Amino acid sequence: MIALSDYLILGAILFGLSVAGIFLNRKNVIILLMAIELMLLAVNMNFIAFSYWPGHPGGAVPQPADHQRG
Amino acid sequence: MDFERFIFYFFAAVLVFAAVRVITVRNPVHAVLHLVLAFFTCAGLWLMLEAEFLAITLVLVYVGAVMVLFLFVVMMLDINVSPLREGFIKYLPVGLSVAALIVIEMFLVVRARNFGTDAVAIPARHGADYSNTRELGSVLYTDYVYPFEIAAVILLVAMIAAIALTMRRRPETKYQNPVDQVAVKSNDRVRLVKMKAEERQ
Repeated sequence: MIALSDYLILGAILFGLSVAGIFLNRKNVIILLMAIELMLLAVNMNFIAFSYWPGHPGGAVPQPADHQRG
Repeated sequence: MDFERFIFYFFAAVLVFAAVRVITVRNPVHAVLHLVLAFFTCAGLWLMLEAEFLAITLVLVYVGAVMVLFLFVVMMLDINVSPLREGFIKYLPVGLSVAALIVIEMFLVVRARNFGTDAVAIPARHGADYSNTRELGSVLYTDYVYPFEIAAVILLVAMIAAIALTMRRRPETKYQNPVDQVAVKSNDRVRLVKMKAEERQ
């Protein structure tokens, strides 16, 4: 089975690639924007992984006890 | 290696490949197309996390609207390819070293010792009658309704600001002034002229 750390490491790799893309394409604003989109995608991947693992769709790592549902 | 792990590694490999191509490809149109590929594979990964609503929203909204708009902009701008690559080799070492540093630091935090299956147990799969959209809505409109409304107001402010920044009155365009229209008198519109009657010929 796939652990939470696999998704988080994948998000970290995606984030690092987008940071490298910002460094490499600083003359090209359009590819710069695309690298920022990749960065947002990596962050969203972390949000969704953290929302799946505690079993709460809020996407919070420290899960409040009164927000427990289902 | 079970089938789920195989699917995960396949999608992860395609995602990393597409991300590398986005930042290194020479033609911006190809970069946008590889970004679309990255979004599609990411939607597949989100489906494995039972986030069906967000996966479909990613495909519909991001790929269907934002990326197509991006593609229109890239194709209309008609960018010259060759002079944009200057500085690529110059910034390659520093970019790769910073990216590797970020990945190593994040790996030290999120590695399997801290977030593996031993530390965080894998939750049980939901049944076929589980609706991710219903779960998301029931949380979004009850617990998080106040941040949701604030986000909506912030988006409205951003939209109004964008319209106000880009709207300018050019002198050659014709437009109506409602203040003048309301305050108009009949003397401004019609001029009554008294003159003698002409002789019948």
